[in-house]
Amino acid sequence: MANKPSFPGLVTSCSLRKCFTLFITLSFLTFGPLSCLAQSLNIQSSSISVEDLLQEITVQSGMDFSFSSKLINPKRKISFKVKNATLENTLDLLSQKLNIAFSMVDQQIILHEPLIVDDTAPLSRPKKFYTISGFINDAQSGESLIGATVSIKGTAQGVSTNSFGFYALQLPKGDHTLLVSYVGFQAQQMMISLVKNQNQDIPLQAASVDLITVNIQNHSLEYLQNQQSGAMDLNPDDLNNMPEFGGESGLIRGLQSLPGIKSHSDGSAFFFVRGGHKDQNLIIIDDAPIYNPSHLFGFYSVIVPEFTKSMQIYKSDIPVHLGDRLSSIVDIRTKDGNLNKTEINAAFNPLVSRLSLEGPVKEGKSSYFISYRASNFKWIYKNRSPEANLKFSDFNFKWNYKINTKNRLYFTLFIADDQFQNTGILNNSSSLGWRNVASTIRWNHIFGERLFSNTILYSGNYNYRISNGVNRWDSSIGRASLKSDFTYYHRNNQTSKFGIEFNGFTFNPGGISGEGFTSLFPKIQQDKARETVLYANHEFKWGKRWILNAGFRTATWENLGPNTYFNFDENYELIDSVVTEEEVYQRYQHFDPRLQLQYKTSNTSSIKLSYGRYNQNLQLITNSTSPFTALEVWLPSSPNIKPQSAHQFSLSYSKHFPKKQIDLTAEAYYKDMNNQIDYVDHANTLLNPLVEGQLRFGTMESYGLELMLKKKVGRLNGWMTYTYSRAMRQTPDVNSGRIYPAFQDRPHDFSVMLNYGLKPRILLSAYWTWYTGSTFSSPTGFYTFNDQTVPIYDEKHNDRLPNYNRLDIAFKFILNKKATAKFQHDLTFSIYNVLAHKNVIDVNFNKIENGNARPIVQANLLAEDQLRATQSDLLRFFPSLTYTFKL
Amino acid sequence: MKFRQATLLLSIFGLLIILQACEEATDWDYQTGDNGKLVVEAIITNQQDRQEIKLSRSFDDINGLADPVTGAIVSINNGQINVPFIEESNSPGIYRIAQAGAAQMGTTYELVIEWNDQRYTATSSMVQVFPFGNPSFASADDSINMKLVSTPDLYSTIEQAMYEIDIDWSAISNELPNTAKQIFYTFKTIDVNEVFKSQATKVKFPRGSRVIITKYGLNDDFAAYLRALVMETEWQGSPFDEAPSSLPTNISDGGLGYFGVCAIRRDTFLAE
Repeated sequence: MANKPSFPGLVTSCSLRKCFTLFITLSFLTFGPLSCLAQSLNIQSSSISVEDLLQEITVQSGMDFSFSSKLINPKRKISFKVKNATLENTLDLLSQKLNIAFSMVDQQIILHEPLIVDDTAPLSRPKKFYTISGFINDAQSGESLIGATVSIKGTAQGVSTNSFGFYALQLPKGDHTLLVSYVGFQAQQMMISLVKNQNQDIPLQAASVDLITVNIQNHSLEYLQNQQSGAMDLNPDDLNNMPEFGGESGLIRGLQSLPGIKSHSDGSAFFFVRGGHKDQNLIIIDDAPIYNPSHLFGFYSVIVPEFTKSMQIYKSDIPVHLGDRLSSIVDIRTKDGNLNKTEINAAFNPLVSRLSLEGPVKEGKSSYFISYRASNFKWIYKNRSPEANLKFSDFNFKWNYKINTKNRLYFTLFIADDQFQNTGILNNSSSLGWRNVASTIRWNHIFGERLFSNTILYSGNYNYRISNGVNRWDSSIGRASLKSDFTYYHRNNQTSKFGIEFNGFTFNPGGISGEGFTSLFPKIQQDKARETVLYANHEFKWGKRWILNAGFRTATWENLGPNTYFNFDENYELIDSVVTEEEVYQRYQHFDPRLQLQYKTSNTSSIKLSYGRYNQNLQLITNSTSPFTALEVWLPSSPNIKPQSAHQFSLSYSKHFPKKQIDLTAEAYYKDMNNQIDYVDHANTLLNPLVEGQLRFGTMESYGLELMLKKKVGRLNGWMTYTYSRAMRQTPDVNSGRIYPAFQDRPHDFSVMLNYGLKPRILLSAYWTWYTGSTFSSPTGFYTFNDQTVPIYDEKHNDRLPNYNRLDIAFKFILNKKATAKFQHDLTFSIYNVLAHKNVIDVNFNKIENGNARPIVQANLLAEDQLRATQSDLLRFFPSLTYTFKL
Repeated sequence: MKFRQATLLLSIFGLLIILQACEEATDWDYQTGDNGKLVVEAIITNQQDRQEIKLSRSFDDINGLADPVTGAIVSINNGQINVPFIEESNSPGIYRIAQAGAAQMGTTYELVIEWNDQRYTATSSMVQVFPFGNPSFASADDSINMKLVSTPDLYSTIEQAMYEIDIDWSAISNELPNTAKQIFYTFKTIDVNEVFKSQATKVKFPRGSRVIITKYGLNDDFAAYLRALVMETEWQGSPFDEAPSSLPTNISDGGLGYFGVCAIRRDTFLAE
């Protein structure tokens, strides 16, 4: 079993202050000297323990060590003296002193027994190569581990596992030592004798951690290997440790804490990425799309943390196999379920409760995960609004079956439902609700040893409705897709990815159905479309420092008849309507190249340059400024709506500081977006068959610099981010054609997330965020008409809401005394917006103050009340208490 | 009123009060624009009357006074006859025709205003107005007063209309206020912020009040103007607002407001 010296140790608050200083300093040094290759090491000790010696070399060189405790006694004392020595000379001396061999794999120095087989010379091509492949799993639960690294001792060869925990390595015939590691798990070393192609699943044991979940392991190896430009991980554990709102962790609030991602406002599930509009983000769960990730208009997220295994957010360099959105894709992979034993998880708080159950169907072969979450708000409003009923629920299900070593099946079902009822009007029940249903059937198959295939049949459906008795307004979007994705591991320095995808879409942009009178409402045309996607990407590692990724994604979008669409003139006046047969009546084709070039400037740092072009054929139609779900509808690209497109360039720099286990990421980007949807003044988007005539099309330009410091390990861990960004729009028929800042144009955005283990069983978490207020239009004058005061707006988005400022805190108390206890339970007390800062979501200019000083619209136009500017905020000081147990 | 049922679809959210819990008055630092512009408030009807046009200026402050525009030369023509409007000597900014007259169906009227060496024009024409039903009243919550319970349809595929409800109880009480005015609209469109519109005060009046309902038939352009107006005033202010913007206008050369020509129907009721 591999061991690692525990040099990271515990970090003090003093170190944290240094982190802040470092953060600011490095912001300016980001693009300074790129390399520290010419290290010179100085160690002068006549008696030093091996443990301390390795730590000193790490501090001076930035290189981490990996070795087996069976091989080296860390407490052994030796004499060691080098002066202005190179790292290589230092390691030569070390190997002589300890009678060991060393090799370097990426940024890690591996100490091992002198090898009999000379596989340290990869350039001398052996006669026979074989492939070892398999899955890396959690030994306890059997869950596959995404992004675990597998490398070969004594070579620079290594790969990461894919989204299903699969790896493949091609090696010369002979004996090798595999090194397998993953954050939060004990690294493993195993000898193999390769005489033929070999399937080798590798279970990893979880690291023994404190009761408080803080990662204690060095994660250097994974850092650069898995670091992708424009992509970020959001670990479910990170989410769980974030202070909660109403007792629930939130995906959107978690995303909001990352650089370049901006939430709409309090209580909102909408978010903006690098200046893009809110509909330019796609959330997928096991590949199936979620169109509305919010519960209760946006206060809660539909993503249940217990169901989540990993979360990857792509802001640029979106992989070719994922699409199609201009700004981001949030790729969520769910837990497979424990293959070895049954587990129960539950959480209870006054507002929301959840229960999950997982376990083997057939031990080691098949497992399931099932969870249910439901709200309980009735007690809040039952006295005030007894006729109201607000509720939401989630149902998640996953099943998988290992047919054999080469075949595995998965099934995922995700249902999220919101229902808000009011039974008080004329005894007639009215309601508003929405529902996301997503499902995936997946077949993983390994052809030979090196071709991994992932065939998926998936669907994503979203329905949004208002009903009154039997009458209802309904809108929906549905998608059914078949996708075959292949990954071919040519050599250890080359990987190809390619695939094909067929998508079918249905759209109902909001029509009314029901009894008698409803037929008088305009008939809203439903729509169908299909899309065929081809993609390919090739990754080529050139030497030890260069990695080139080149690929493309090409799609053919086709609108399908029978249908009726409308033609408009240059003034957006209706000219005529066109009735189509059962045929393709509109086709768009696009070819989107992707390119990424990475250069490892040192063993702990890299610089990346990337370019990508993106297209999007689905658009959310809404002229609302609301943070909430407000009767939006989805429309496809059509004869009147050209696909949205974007070019994005980004340059990033990543640096890992081994001594403090801190990661620094700095990324600059420029994004140019076309066919961006804007709206004519006072656009009518609801129940309007001619809604396309209300749309205007323009451009958007965004650019920015994002900085992030992250410390994953230690008693004190967390991250802090700063983003400077701008997002400017220009639409010929809006704002007199002048450029104006988009709603999401918020130049400065700062956030800090910290976890601190106060005591072995008490974790303190704090999250603070501050950002420039959003733009909005405020009146620059008034006039009177019909005894009403009418606002005048000179320019769109001429004003800003007050700056946003929020601090959340949480205390988590572990109630069981032993980390290994079978029954584990904890109590979390959190406060959202502990400073009770008024974070304004809108400002209005049409209300008076009534007797209770409550702003209200004056219906009597002859009343002589004074109008007041009013502002709204949603959440001040919201405490919650949650009890969670795991059995 | 068959469309009344439809409006139930649109008014289900007393529960949205929960989302509006933290609204308060604030001292907003207004940006000022290029105000003092001409504002036209002109609705010419098919009723024999001394038709009236009100001219004022735009202003900076939300509770500012609209300065009247005086000394303007105002007229309306139908392409053949030009009818001058004379400024009322005791009501600055109010211009009326000398004798009672009425607009006619099927005619396009042009408004011409000359003021400050600038010529402003606008055109409009009349559409049919349909009869309306009798209103119904009920006791208000305090049981002393009455309230209007049958409001006009919000939506119609047939017509667009404005209902001006003038309520007068000066014959019953000298205590001020003893008048009230409400306006309702019927449009061929339904809007998101109409569905989620902000809470408004309840207009109450004593039993026996005189209620005059004037219904204006609206052509599409005037309806679009009034729809924008109500979106910026009465419907604005909930957490589900639409993006605000200036109202359209049919007044040329930077003028504000609207010139409309409407067929009207008027009836008087007693609140019983």
